[in-house]
Amino acid sequence: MGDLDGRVALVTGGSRGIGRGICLRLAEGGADIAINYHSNADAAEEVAEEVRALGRRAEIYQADVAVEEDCRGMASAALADFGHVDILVNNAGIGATAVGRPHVADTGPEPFERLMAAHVYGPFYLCQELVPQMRDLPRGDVVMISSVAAQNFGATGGTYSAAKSAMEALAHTLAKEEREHGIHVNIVAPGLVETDMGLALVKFTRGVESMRDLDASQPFGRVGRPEDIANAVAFFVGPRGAYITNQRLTVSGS
Amino acid sequence: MTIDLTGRAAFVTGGSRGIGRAIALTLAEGGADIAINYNRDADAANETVEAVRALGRRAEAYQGNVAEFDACQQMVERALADFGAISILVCNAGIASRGNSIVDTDPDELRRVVSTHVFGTQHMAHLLVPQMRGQERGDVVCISSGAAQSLGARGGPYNMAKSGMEALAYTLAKEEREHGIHVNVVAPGLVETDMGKRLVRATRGVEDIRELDERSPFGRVCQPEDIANAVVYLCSEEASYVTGQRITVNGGGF
Repeated sequence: MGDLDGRVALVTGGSRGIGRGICLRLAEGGADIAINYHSNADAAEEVAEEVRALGRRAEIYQADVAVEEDCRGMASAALADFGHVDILVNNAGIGATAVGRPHVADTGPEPFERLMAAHVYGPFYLCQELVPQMRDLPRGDVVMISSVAAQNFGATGGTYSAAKSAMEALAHTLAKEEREHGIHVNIVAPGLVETDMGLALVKFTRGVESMRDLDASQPFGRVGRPEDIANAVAFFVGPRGAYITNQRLTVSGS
Repeated sequence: MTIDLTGRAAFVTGGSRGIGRAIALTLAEGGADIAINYNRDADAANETVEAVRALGRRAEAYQGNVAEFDACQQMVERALADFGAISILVCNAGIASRGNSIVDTDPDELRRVVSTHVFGTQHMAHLLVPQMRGQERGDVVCISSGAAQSLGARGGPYNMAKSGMEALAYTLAKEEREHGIHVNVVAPGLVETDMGKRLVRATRGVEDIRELDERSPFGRVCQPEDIANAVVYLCSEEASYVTGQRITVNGGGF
């Protein structure tokens, strides 16, 4: 029926924003979904219900991707529930705004450590747990949700840019190591997207209260949407991406 | 979510054979009507036209060398008369260079290759983009090459031509976004086409390109459909927030 029938996707940070969009888009394509969330169980359960309403299986897993035992435990639990995980989407993240957007020279190591743990170590642990079993599947996919921050390197975004860059380095290395096992590793880099994180960012940096105030000044007359990012993920992991790996697609309207 | 290009018409240069043929057919599968440009092989063009019509879509073929502005002008006039409007332009027509070092390259060869890839693309954009501005959406997709990234020795004219073509694409993307026009680049590596077969015969002494399957990414030489799938994604609703981007379809490029 769908392009992704029979496949299982684990989406980190899947309860809200871009992650929620990815869960729903992959479920529309036919995949069953393991939804990771950190703090908002109600939101995660709501996404699970929406996935089930599409006729797909969904389970939710509480875990802080910055914590090694959480990642390893979640991977084991998802494998026990679904039997296999074909698609890993590393989407969970923390914005630089959450740590006060410090200048590189004016901050201690703590904010850097916090973002590095969430964006780099978490995906690393999950790849270690899930990639080996992907080698025996017809196809495996890892998609990193990075950011235009890893190409723009704006002032006060150092914590985030450094973490996303390291995440991309992980992806490009993994792509080369695992292709022989039929595993694809790609990166989607969103610009500003209408999410809680995006709204916090523009409130802080531009003093606007609503994304709608920005539409007219944005590419194609609108702020990016979670679906825009989810569609790119679905392209990479679907049959149209069968000969694509080690690539990075910016979805920012520019 | 299936890709729906119903109601759109695409002009595909070099559409009679190889990658161009696959692009014509895949866009037609998505619902688009197809104007096919060819230069020399009328039989192949007619065969592709018939294959598109067999999918229930409209198709016409237009002979012309894209390197010549007058030829482009005549083709576009006829295509606009036939189809009413063209909302997708795929610049795919190309010629290979002869494998000489830059120092040993006849300037006429450089001019010929650049004329086809750079001037040909500019001719078609000049003739078709203005009428796209009034449409709901316009798309230009340039078929470049991994050569524009690897810039290998003895590929000078082709490397220069494809790099120039990409520069045109990224510039055009910035100029036309306000009119709802998307401009993107798809960069194939080695593909099983007449050009690809000649390339491996000349550079590696390989008579049957399929001999390379085992050593190729994902166990196979890239097929024209792999490239067409990326083009169709970029022209679809799924990529409505993607412009100015390049997708390399080469199995990872390592």
